[in-house]
Amino acid sequence: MSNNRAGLAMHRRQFFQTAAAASCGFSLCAFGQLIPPKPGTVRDKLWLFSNPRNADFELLRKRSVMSPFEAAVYMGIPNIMMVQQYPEKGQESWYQPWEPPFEQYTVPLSMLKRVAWSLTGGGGTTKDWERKQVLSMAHKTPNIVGLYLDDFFHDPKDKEVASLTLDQLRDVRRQIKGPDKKMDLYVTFYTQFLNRPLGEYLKLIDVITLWGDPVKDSSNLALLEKLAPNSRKMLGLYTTDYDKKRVPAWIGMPVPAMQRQCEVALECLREGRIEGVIIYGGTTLDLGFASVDWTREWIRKVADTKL
Amino acid sequence: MKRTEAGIVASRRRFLQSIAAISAGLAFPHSAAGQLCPVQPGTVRDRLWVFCNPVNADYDIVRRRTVMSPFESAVFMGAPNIIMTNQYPGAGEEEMYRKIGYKPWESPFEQYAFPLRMLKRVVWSIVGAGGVTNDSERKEVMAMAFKIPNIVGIYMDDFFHDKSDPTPASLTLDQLRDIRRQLKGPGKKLDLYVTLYTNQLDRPIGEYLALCDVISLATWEPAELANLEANLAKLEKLAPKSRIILSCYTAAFDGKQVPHWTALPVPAMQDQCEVGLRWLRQGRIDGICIYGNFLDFDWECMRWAREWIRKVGDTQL
Repeated sequence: MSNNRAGLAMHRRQFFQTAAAASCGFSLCAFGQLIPPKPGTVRDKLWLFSNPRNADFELLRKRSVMSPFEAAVYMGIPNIMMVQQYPEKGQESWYQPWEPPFEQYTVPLSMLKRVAWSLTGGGGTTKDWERKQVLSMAHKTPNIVGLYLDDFFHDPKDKEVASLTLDQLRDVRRQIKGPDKKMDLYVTFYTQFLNRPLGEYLKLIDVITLWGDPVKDSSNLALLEKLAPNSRKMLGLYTTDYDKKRVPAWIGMPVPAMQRQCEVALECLREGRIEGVIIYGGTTLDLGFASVDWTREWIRKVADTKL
Repeated sequence: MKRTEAGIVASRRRFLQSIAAISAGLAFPHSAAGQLCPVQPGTVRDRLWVFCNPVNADYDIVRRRTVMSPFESAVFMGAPNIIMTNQYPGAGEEEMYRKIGYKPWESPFEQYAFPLRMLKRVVWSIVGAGGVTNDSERKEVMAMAFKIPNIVGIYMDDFFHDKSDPTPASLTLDQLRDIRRQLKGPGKKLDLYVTLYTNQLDRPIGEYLALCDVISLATWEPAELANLEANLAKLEKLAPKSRIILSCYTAAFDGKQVPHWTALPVPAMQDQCEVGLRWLRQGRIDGICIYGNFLDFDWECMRWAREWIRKVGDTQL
């Protein structure tokens, strides 16, 4: 810190400016009680991935009662991905998918900064009528900034490459890049897809969200940067550890692994290699996982620092 | 303010202190887990509450789906305090509620309190809607209330029964005294809250009310809103030592129409909020409670109330 007179005057001015901005921000944010994130901060780039309440019961075998909005505010995250999920046969009593009119769910979400809503939901499920309604809602709702394609790419053994054809994807893109409100197209991309020939699809995507095993370093991101050099990227961080042979398949992620992936993601964010960090997720935050407590505290510490 | 040298120094110091306080106050929630505005003591906002049941609990009287949770309602309205009141489907309503997938809050209740920890004050029901209560729920709620720091009281909704009912209330005086003993024991102190409808003001319930710390005065019939002033005066006489919260519905009840509840006209909403604010400033009441269910219906009276809170919330009492 400089110690000359000009420097002192500058700091003093900054102090008063900050205080004044803070006091203005106070009354501005009071409508709905949420404080908007400051542009250029880490918080502004944080997202929460959320499904309908309790949608992950099968994996967790523990009840969650938190709504997506509650989860976002609880974590201190101002942006949310709303990803639809339908229960499989026999699991209907576990949770309810979002049902139309979807606009009603956006009432509390209007207090968040950015919302991306799914056109293809958990398991890659998509329906014509739902895509139509979601697209219409997205054009009408100011803070919906994008459409999300979850579990979009299928297993190699599946006869369809993805949940939508290239032509369908081009059509969606035409609708969201038209003369009116412009929106982005987001997709879930698992690290095991990095060697698949999906370049044609990825060219039609604005933001690729990279998910996989706990992020230990940025090597997978480097591969994605080669595969889709023109797309923006985000890193998805699970708060759970997956083992398909275990019941429940998801348990809390060990804290050192959670810490490692948060720190790697923050470094990539500061380097400008990614434009957002996504925390998973709405269904895992009220289960008492230490990884969630740690992440919440980490967000509290780093969120308002400048990028 | 006197412009003496000492005065200037003092006011400069106060100015700097207040700026520091503002930035500290803001920095805290801004950087705290959660992104909620701070509530300044001594402001109107600090005294605002929302009353909430489980999501969709009012389906039988509004016949429309709501998807908004209690916490969402509180933040949406800009109210930092919440009354959480459980509700079980009434007799004959089970099928209707099953069809819409309604669920009362189920044990463990603590899980519902995760997001609520970000609010300033929470009060939780031991007697729920319709005056329903049971031993195990009372026990669990009391244990939770002692453990969770921002639970400041226990609520008894629809506590007083119809005149035709053989029992005057959902709990006996002895049961109430026992609860009070627990709430006022050597550990954390909690307050006892109760719903009292204006049409119950003439009932001989003084002994019960004397055991309650806070009475939430509710006007069920919209026509009765014209008598708010007289009703508050009656209550002040009936329970001179209790604190009072003015409960404000957003819906107008008409037992002859379906749905029974429709949007309360804006002038009626405005009247009760403004009367409540005057009483709050006069120190006659302790708080104003907005009915917080189904705020996602976007009724005009709700929009009005939200805007009103935005305007008056941060003013000093």
